Amino acid sequence: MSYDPSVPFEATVRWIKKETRDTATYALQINARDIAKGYAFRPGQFNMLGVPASGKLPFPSVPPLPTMKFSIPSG
Amino acid sequence: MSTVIVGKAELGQIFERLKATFRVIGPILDGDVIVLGELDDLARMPSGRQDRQGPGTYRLGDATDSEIFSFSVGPDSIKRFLHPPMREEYTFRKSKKRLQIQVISPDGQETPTAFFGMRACDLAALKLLDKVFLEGPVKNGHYERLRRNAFIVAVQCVRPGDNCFCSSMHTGPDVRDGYDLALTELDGSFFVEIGSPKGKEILDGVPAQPAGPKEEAEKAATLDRCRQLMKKFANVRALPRIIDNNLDHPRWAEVATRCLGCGNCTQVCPTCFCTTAYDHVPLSCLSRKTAERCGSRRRTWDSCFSINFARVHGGNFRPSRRARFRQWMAHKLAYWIHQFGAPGCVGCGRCITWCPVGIDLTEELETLSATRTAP
Repeated sequence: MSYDPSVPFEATVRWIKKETRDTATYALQINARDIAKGYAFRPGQFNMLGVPASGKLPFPSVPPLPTMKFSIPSG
Repeated sequence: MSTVIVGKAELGQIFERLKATFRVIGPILDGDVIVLGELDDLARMPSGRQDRQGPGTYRLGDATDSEIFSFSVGPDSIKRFLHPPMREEYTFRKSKKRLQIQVISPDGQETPTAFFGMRACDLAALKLLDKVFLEGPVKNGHYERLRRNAFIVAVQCVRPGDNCFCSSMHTGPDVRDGYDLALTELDGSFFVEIGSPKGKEILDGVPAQPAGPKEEAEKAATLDRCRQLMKKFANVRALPRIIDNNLDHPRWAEVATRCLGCGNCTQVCPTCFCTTAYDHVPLSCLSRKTAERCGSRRRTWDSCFSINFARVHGGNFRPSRRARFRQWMAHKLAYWIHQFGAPGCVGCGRCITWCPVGIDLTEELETLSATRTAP
């Protein structure tokens, strides 16, 4: 792993799909190409997604590139 | 490694030479407790004071002997300095269009730190922290940079603390490796073991004689006496079996009625390393006009006794104090072995002393092994 996992990196929201009344799926793409390339995880590992100053949430591993998809209750 | 004999009066010279190169951290008095802190003057070291410890008690009094290192370990360990209770990992500034992240990290240019008067248990704990932070799949860069610069002056314990059981954990009382200098306080002198070229450099110009078989024997006898005086014992050979076979033992429920769940044991433990992280956003960082946000990511020590520690989406997988105590003790004495190849306990006895209700790890272990419920 080439990056320090305690240091966050930026990702861009590519699209948002409303799934149900209170849940949406967000597709994220990691901005830096080298990080995106080396981004890997094992089954059961978590991704930590945060919006600085707003909060953070852990997510179970999801299918990797080209985009990561998170389903978030939006209520 | 070579050994020399240095007069007791020369300890001050060694200290001054250390101070010229390092920021020195060592035992100092804070109220009625010996803690680790900036030791700028050897006279500040609480020589002549001696702690009396018991389950849930710590009292400082005058020493009965005239040793310089007359005391044993207090609540602090090296962990506090290499893996601090709180540190800022990065700052952030976010506007509508941009997010800037600035990593805060030691750059290796800081004054290197010397840890003065570290005991065998401290060094054993440091080895375990190295396993966790440096030898796993991911290195902790912050720890690595501070660790690389650390200079260790170890002290062989001439007398155990009342809650010590390092001898049975095979982590002490003798300091075996991992030091730059190791001092054994003999009758009129120090037996000094040189563990690194840096250690040798510090001794340059300090009057010293070569150590002979007489001093070797005196050092060995000192450590033997310390071993014999140790009152507590943990059956390390039965680990991790005793724990693994007794996860449903009724003792866990019994101890949970005494445990307050305060987490003191995890804070004073020299190897407990769990952390949590949160965003610190001062009010001054919230702009209503521009929607700008700034602040920092803080990482702080956490504790498996905290109710939130095992709270995940949908519930808490350790909802009772029984489950949380069992997790702590089982992690220390069994899961660490599965995870890192060695128990996470070095036998320093800090968790026993600083437990407000005096729960004694060695006693709990003894109870589990005496009334094993499964083969």
